[in-house]
Amino acid sequence: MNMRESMSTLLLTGPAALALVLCVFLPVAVVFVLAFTNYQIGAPGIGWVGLDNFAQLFGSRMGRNAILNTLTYVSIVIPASVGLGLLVALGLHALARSLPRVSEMLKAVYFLPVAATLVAMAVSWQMLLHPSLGLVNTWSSALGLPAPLWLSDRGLVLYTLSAIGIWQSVGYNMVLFLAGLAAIQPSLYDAAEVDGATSGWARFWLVTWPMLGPTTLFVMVVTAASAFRVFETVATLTKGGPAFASDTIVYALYREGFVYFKAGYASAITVVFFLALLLLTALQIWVIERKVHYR
Amino acid sequence: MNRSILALGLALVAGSAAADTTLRVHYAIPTIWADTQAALADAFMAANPDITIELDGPAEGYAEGVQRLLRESVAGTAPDVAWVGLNLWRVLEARSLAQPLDHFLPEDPEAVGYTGALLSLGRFEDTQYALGTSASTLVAYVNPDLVARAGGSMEDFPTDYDGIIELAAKIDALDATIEGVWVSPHDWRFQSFLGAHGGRPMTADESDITFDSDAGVAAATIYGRFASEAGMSTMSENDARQAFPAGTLGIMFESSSLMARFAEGAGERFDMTVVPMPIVAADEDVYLPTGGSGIVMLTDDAEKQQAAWDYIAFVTSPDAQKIIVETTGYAPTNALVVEDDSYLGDFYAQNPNARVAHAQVAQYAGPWYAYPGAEGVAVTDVIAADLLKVVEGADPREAVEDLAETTRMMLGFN
Amino acid sequence: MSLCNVSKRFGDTTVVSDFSLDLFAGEFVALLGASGSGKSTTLRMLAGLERPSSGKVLMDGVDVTDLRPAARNIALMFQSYALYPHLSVRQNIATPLRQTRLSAAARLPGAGLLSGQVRKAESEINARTQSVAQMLRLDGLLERRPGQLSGGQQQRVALARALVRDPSAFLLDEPLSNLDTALRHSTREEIRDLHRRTGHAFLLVTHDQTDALSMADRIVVMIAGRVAQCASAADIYHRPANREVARFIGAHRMNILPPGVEAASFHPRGMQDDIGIRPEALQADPNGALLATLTNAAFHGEETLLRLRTDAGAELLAVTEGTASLPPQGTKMRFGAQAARLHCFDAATGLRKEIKA
Repeated sequence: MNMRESMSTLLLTGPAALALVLCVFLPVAVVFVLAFTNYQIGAPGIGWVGLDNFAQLFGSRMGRNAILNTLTYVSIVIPASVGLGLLVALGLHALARSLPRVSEMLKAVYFLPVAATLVAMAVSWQMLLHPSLGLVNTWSSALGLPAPLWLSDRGLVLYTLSAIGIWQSVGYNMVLFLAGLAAIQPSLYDAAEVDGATSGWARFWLVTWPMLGPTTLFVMVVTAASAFRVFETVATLTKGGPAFASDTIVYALYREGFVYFKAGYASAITVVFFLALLLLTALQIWVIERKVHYR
Repeated sequence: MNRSILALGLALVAGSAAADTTLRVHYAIPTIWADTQAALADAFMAANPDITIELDGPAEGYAEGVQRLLRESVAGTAPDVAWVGLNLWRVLEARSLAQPLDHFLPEDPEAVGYTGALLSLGRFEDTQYALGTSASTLVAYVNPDLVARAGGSMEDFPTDYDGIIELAAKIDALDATIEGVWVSPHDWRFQSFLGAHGGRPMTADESDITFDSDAGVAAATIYGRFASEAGMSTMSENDARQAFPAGTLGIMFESSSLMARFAEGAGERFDMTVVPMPIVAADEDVYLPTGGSGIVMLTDDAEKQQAAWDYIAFVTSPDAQKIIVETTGYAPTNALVVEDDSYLGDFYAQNPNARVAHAQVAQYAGPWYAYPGAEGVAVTDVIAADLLKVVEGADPREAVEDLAETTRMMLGFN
Repeated sequence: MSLCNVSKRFGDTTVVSDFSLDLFAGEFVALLGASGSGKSTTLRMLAGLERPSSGKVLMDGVDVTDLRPAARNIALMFQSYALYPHLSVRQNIATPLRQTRLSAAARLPGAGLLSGQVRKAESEINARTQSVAQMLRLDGLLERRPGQLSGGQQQRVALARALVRDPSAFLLDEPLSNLDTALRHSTREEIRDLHRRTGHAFLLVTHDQTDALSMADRIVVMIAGRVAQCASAADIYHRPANREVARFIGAHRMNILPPGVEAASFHPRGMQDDIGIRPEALQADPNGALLATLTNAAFHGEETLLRLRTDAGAELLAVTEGTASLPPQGTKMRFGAQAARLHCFDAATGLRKEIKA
C-alpha cells in the first residue's frame, strides 16, 4: 500500500473512529474510573474508595437480592421465551402450508408486542393485572379462582414480570426461528422420512433441532442479553417493589444512580454488569459456536 | 403562546429600562403545574416589567427534576430558581447549590404571612434554604356510600384509629372485590402516623434515629392492624389510586394534593369526602410532615439574586398563593391567605374538602424529614420495605427496632 | 415393484400422467428425461415421498400407495445427498438402522448403559455400518463430518446410508450430477459394480443419457410426464420409438428431414414421411444422394462437426473423424448414409415406421 492510499484510508475511517472513541470508549472509561470512587451526582467532592463499591454490590443484602432476582428472571425468561418462540414458529411454519392467510395473521399478532412500545404496553398490563378492577382478576373471580396481587405480592411479582418478559420476546424469537426453519433443505426431511424417522418427533430431533442450532444459539444470546437488561417493565410496573422483590440489576443501577444519586456505586454496578454480559456472550459464542456450526 | 407574546411585548417595552434581567425557572410535574406556572409567570412579569421569566421545560416528577438540576449544575447550565419537592431541596443544600435566603427575609416574617411552622419546611440548621410554595399532608379519603353500606355514616365517622379499623373491617367484609382501607407503606405516610402520635424520626440535630420510640411502634402497629384486622392488601400505590375513584376502596390515607384528582375520578359515582387524620398525642407534640413544593434560589450572581428573590417573594405572597390553591388543590403556605377570607372564602365555600385539608396543614404542618447523607434516599426505600413486612404480619416493635438499627448503620449514626 | 397408471397433478399442472412402470428384482432401470419431464416426481412417488393423484404403487403385488417410505423399505439417494451435517459419517450411515430398529427412548444418549438389549442392537448396527463403510471405502472417514468431505466422498456416504438397510429397491436421484468428469466415470463403474454385488433392483433417475446408457439394463425415456419408450440401451439408440426419443437420445441431435425431394433422395418413403439420420451416420460421399453447402466446421479433437445447409434450406449436422482434412467454408459437398442407418417417422404422429433397407 502506498502513502496516498494509506492517507485516504485514514481519512475514510478516521472520523467514525474518532466519534466512536469520543462517544463510546471515553464515557465507558469514565464509568470504569467512577466505579472506584464515592462520587455523587452534583457533589463537589470525590474520593477514591478502591473496591468498596464492588464489595457492597456482592456483600450487601440489597446487592445480592438484585443479582438473585435478575438470575431468577433470566432463568425463567430464557428457556420459556426460546422454547415458546420455537414452538410457535414450528406451528406457524406448518400452518403456512395449509392456511397461509391465517398463519400470516397470527405471525403479525405474535410480533405485535415486539413492535409496540413497552412502556405503553406496561400501562395496559397494569390495567389488566389490577387486583380488583383488572380484567384478569375479574375473570378469575368470576370463575371462582383466586384473585392474586400479580404485581404487589412479594412472592409473585417476579414471576408476573417474567411472564410479561416472555410475552414481549416470544414474537421476536418466533421470527428468527421462522427464518431458520425456512433455510432448512427440504431434502433433509425427505431423507429423514426415507430413513424411517416417521414421527414428527423423530424428524424434529433428527433434522429440525440440529439444523436450527445456529439460529437457537443466536436467539439465546439475544434473549439473554435482553433478559439480563430487564428494566422498563420493572420501572413502569413495580419500581423494584414491593420491598425490593422485583429489584433487578439494571433497575438497581438506575435507582442507585438516578434516585439515590450514588454515581460511584451505580458505575460499579454498570461495570460488573457489562463484564458479566461480555463474558456470557463470549462464552456462548466461543464454546457453543463450535458445536452448532458443524465444522 | 400568550405568554411568549407577552414576553416579547415586555422585552420590547423594557428595551430602554436600565436593569433588564431574565430568570430561568425550573419546575416539575407539568400535569399539575403547567397552567399554574404560566399564570404565575404572567402575573409576576406584569408587576415587574424589567424581569423576564423563562420557564424551562418541566421535569416529569420531582425526583427527575432534581436529577436534572444536578446534571445541569455539573454542566454549569443550572437555572436561577427552581421549584422542588419539599423533601428534596436538602439534596441541593447538601451539594451547596441552594443559596441561603436569610438576608432577603423581612425583619418580621409573620407580618407577610411566613409563620414559623411554614418557614420550618425549608429550614436546616437555622438557615433558610427554601420557602414552601404549596403544601399537603396526609388525610383520609372516604367513600361515604361504602361507609353507609357497612352500617356507618359520615356524621359519626370515627375519630380514632380503633374506630376506623372497625369500620374498615366492616367495609372489607361487604364483597370480595371491595377493600376496607389502604395506606402506602412509605416513609412519608409513616412519618405522618408517627407525628400524629407525637413522635419524630430523628433528633433535632439529625445525629440519631428516634422512630424506635413507642410512638414509632404505634405508627407501625397501625399498618399491622390495618392488614390483620381490616384486611388491607399489599396492592401497589398505582392500583390503590385506581381502586379508590373506582369505588372499590372504602378509606384511603393519601396526600391531600390528590384531592382534585380523586374528586374528578369519583365524579358522580360517589361523594368523595376528606376526613382529617386522627390525632393521638397532645397538640403541642404533634406535627404532620408536609409534602408539596418549595422554591430554592440557585443563582449566585448578586444582581440576579435580587430579581430571583423578587420572584420567590411573589410566588409566596397571598396573591400568588391564591392562584396556586385555586389551580392545583394544594394547601397554601402563606398564613395570610388562610386567615383572610377575602382571598379564598369563595373557594372554600365550594370546596369543603379543601378546607378540611388546608386546616390540617395550617394546624400541624411540619418539615418532612429527609435523611441526611449519601444514603438518605436509599433509607426511605428500606423503611418502605420494612413497613411492608409489618403489613405481611411481622411484629411491629421488632420490625421498627430492626429498621432503626439498619437505618443508623446506613446513615453512619453508630 | 410397479407403478400402475399413476398420475400426479400440482394444482392445474399435470406433472406425470398415466405412467406405468415395472421394476423387477435385480434389475437396473434408468429413468431418463430432460429436466421438467416429471422423472423426479415419479421417483418420489415410487419412494413414497409424494402421493399419486391417481393410480397405484405396488410392491410384490401388494398395494403400498398409502405406505410411508420407511415401510416400503426403499433406499433413496438424493441428488444433493441430503447428509445430516451435524452427524459424523458413521452416524449418518447408521441413521436408517437406528431409526427403524431402536425406539425413541433407546436412541437417547446413554440408553445403552441401562439396557442390555439396546447394547446388543447398537453393536449390530455398528457392525453393519462398518461393513457397508468398508464396501464403499469409507472406513477411514467414519468420524468426520460431511462438511469435511469431498464431493465424491459425500456421494459414497449417501450411497452407504442408502445401502445399509438392505433395501428391497434402490432409487438414485441424479447420483452423478455433482461430480466432475473424471469422477463420473469411476463412479459409474462403482455403481454398476454395487448393483452386481448387492443384487438389488436399482432405479436411476438422470437427465444424462450417457449415465443411463452406460449403466442401465433397461431405459425408460420420459417426455412431458409420459413414457416415450421403454427398452434396452441398444434398442433406444438404434430403434427410437418416435421422433422425440430419436432427437433426445444420442450425443448429437438426430437430423430430421421433412417429407420432400431431399428426404426421398435417401429413401423413397421420404416423399410422405420424415427421414431421420444421425449425424454420425451422415458421411461425406462423392456419390452421396444429398448436395449441401458447408456453413461451419468445428474441430473437436476426436471428431469434427460439420454444419450444412441443403438447397431446400434444411439445417443438418454431420460428424466425421477428427483426422479428416477440413474443406473451406461455403464448399458444396455431397453426403450419403447407409440405408440401414436411416430412421423413418410418421410426419403427423412422429411414430417410428419400420423401413426395409
